[in-house]
Amino acid sequence: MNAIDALAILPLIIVAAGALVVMLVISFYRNQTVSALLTIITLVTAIVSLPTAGGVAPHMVGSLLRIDAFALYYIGLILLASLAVTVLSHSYFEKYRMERGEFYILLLLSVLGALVLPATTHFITFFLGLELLSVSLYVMVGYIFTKERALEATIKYLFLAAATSAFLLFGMALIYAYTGSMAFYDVAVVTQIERTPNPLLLAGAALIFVGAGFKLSVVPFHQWTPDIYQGAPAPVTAFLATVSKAAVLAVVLRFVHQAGLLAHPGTFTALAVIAVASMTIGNLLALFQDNIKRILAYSSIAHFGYLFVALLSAGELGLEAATFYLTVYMTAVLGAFGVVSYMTPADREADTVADYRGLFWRRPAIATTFAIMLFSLIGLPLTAGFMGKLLLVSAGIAANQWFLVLWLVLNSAVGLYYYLRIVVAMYTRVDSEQSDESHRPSTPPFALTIGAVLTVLVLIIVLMGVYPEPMLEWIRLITYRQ
Amino acid sequence: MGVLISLLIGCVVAFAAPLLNRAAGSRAGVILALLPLGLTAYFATFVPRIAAEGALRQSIAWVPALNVNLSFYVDGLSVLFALIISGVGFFIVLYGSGYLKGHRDLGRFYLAVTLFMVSMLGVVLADNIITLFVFWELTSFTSYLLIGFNHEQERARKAALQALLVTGTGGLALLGGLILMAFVGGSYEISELLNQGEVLREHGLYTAILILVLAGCFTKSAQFPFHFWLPAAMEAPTPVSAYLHSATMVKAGVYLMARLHPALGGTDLWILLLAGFGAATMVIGSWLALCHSDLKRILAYTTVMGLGTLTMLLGIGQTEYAVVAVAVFTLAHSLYKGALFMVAGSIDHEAGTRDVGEVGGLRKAMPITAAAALVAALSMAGIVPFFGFIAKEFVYEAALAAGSLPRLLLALAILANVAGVAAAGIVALKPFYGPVRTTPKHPHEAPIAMWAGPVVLALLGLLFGLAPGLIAAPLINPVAGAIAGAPVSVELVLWHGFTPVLGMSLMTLALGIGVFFLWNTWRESRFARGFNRAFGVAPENAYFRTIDGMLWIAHWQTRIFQSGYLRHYLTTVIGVTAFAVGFTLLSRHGLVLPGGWSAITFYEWTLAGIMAAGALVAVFARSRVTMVVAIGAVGFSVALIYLANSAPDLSITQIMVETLTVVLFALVLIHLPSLRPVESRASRLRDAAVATALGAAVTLVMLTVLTEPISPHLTEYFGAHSYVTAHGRNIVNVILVDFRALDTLGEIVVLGIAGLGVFALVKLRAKKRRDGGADV
Repeated sequence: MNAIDALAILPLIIVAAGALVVMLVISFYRNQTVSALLTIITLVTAIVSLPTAGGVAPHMVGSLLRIDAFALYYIGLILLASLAVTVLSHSYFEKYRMERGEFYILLLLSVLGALVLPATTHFITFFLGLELLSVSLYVMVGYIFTKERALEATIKYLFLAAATSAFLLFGMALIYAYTGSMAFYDVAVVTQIERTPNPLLLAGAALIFVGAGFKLSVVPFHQWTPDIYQGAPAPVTAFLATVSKAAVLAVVLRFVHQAGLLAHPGTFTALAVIAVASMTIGNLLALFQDNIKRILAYSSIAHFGYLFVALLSAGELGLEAATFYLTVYMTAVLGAFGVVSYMTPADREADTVADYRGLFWRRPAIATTFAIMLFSLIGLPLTAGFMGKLLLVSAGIAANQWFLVLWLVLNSAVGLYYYLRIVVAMYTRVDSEQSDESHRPSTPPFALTIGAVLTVLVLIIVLMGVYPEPMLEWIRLITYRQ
Repeated sequence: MGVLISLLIGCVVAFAAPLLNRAAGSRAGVILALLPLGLTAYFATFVPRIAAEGALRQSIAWVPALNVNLSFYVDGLSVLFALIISGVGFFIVLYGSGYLKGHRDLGRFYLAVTLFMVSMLGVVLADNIITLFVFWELTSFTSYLLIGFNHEQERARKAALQALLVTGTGGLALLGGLILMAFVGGSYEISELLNQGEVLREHGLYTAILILVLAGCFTKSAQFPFHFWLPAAMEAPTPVSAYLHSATMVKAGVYLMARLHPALGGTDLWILLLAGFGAATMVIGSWLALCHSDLKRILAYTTVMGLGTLTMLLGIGQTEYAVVAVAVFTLAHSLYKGALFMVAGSIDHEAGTRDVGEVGGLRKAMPITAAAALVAALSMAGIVPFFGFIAKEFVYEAALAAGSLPRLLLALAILANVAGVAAAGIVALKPFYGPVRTTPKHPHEAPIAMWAGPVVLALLGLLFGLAPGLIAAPLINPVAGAIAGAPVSVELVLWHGFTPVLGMSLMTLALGIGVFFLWNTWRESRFARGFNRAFGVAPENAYFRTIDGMLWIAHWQTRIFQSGYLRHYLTTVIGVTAFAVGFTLLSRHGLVLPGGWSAITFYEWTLAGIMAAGALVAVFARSRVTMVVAIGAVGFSVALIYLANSAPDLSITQIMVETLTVVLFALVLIHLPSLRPVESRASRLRDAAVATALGAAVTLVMLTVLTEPISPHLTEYFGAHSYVTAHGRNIVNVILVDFRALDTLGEIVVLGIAGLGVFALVKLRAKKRRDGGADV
């Protein structure tokens, strides 16, 4: 590794060093606020170092990593989302009397794993990044081990992740056996030379997709999502829903586009089936839910179905649409889970629709924030979600994916129903005499840090909904250069 | 720029409205009403300009990347609607300030209603289809807030949600249709798409475009069978109903159909769908109105009738009569229906009920309101010399001139208008005439804010009827021209002479009066009840059943797929993987057995036999110990196979791992509850199927690996370099200790650290135990 390599992966090095620093500090001085502060400093430093890394981009680090505009964009996205998660975690864990400092080591390690993925051009980094991301997550999901649901969630996640990782590894081995290389680029060369791809290559790709599909929780690998979303602490769920998925989607986008797998009709059909099934099943499952975390879990399945429409609409517009939509989606989901973590008291999670009844009349600011996030997830005009969906539809139409686009639009109508139910509940005034004290939803005191994070997220949603042009320009530049 | 600025001012005022309400108190309504008044004046200035210069276009880039521009297209059609929206809006704000006087959420009403007005103006003025859609959805959303204004009431909330779901779903279909249209027509600007009519109509996607666009328009404009949300939305405060559900929002669909008529209209499908659904809606709406005694419901259903009439006229479309009829009827309907809704609200407000059966003789207490109601109702009934008369004449003329089935359309129009006449009589006469009845509240004349609107709107109906020339050339002709896509010039006159159409008008009136007197008998009749059930209740029930059905599917699916059991989740993952891999390999490669069976030695056969037997024993064993032993046998046999293929190091690793696993198993076994056989035969079969599928898939992979050419790259490399560079004969060993020496070192380090960790944990546990601490 030479100096330029080090510059290119500077953000990764900073995060890795940060994890070590937090660990060392904890062994002398245990304080959650100190750990959280160090984590924030690490993440901010990593963000600040992005232009430095951008200065040498595009740059290949061996054949393992490629730091280019695309990678740096996703790295930035992940770092920002992690920053938000850190703030949410701090106020969330304040409510628990337990060892909380170590959480941030795990968080940073997981972030490191996530950071590797967007730059990945090689199966080795793919697997290492994925496992680094996951292994810390096993612990984070069950971090509050006094809660049975959390433990159950962590066991489920561990087993399923282990099984799918095994498949992933097996798939890599098959591709390696056939092509003799683990670099995406070499796989691409092989697929381009051969008109009909070799069965081993396809079987390998299928197995790799089992691993990636699990992380993205698309149908039929989606079943874990609601249980883990519900069981994990709200900030960890936010992390799972945003950072973990963004990182894996980035590597899938790169792999699918670089390895030219979509040219093969079989792969295309398989992914299209997954997209349609994810949209339908995710939305239908969400209809019946009264638990907000589960609603968000099921709807995330649908949202990744939407994203697959962009993935399947090959070309720059598809890539652009996917990147923009993911950014918007992450912002809205972080906001939604931010509200949930804010509203959660120590004894239980505030995650049923009933907890939010009449919130608009008690806490107009928080309720409005939540409503804006949900509107964006629905895709209502003037929120970023609308622009995202418009971009997906445009990309689909440009690629002549009529059926997928039609299905996406129809499914958005279903989404309207279950997201609006939450908004309606918040808007319904509760008669204070009718509801007895024990069922009175709690309203925690205002927290400055969480308030700041939520304000920023709202601003992003509104700004990108009203004036998305600069952001789109930027994303176009990134996808073009890639 | 001007249009955009006017809308922005509207937005700013809307958000300032709650503050204004707090600051100015009861005068807030009057101050706020200045906004729609100013807008009306502003849009009125466009009338002479358009008559002189034709349509205007203003555009500012918004998101050029997505072809979204803030562009506005002002022609006769948009100005007519803009004038109705802002003009009626002026009276509605005034009326609302009286109607909701002292209401704790009055500020919220002002905010929502002003915002609604701005979005509605946006819909009719927008040129860019995405901008249009944004405003379209904003009207749905603000109407949700307005219908659900009394959110304490469950019914109001339900009605609001229902209206939003129906129009919102339609809106999404509309978006799909509009984008398709833009794709086919090559532009996102309506003004440009209007010139692409032939391209659009002849394209293969025309049917899809038309159906999607109409789905949006029909739901918004309450066409049968989506009409049910409109009567249900009567839960809204009356100013809202008067504004949204007669004059403005429900006409958005009509507006869009009229706007797109030059681009999409005139085909057989267009005529069939619009004339068919329009006529059906017209007849059903008019007669459903007579099945109810709630003033607002009667008005709501007659609005459905009016919307049906407009849709039918647009379906006929091709004749001059039809397009002029659309323009005239739109204006006439907005004037009298807005007035009558406000009257109904005043009755409700002053008398405390709006059931026709419970009020009577109010004309003494409310003379001004009664007069306004009478004038508006005469226009609605289509009596000379009111504007409604001209509108009805044109509707009949248009039906007669229709390209296909003119007699049928005319008959249906007469049938609907008979009921319309009766409904007008019921709304305007019953509450005000006849014996005085005691009502829940002692009635007074409504305040001026509440009668100004009905009076002015009703009088306008009279004025335009007496002097139609006032608006014919400057307003009606440009509107008709915009709908037809070509200049139209029609002279509006009140008196056509003794034409057949006049005869039909007289017949309608006579029959209508007859029905008016027979109303109570009709309403009680079994036929009327059946009619209401079939066309009023059934579509709404279908909506509820759709929602319930979706929930049921969701519930069923949740139960099946989200059992919460890890083993079920794993089953899915494994099953799908086995299927994907198996299918790929079988379809691409097939089942090819490799050759070279004779090379397999006796030892290897024996070991394979032991492994198979071990696996079988493990499956069927009844105790855990047997299972562990059987699995161990499989593992050790694998190790022996490695040994037989001269890979002693691998073999040793395998033996160590196996031993460790068996030991671990043995340690854990003690703590496990006793083994219970799998519950049912079905689950045993399922488990067997999943296991077999995965086994088969992996076998298939192995067979493929053996028969497909795999990359020779590695074999060649190590073959060439092992002995020469690393001086080793055993390639596997060379790889481990030379080529991958660093990796091996790394592995050793990992093992070491893991060992240290274990040691630390054991020590910690021992220490805790010594200290008597229970917490680990």
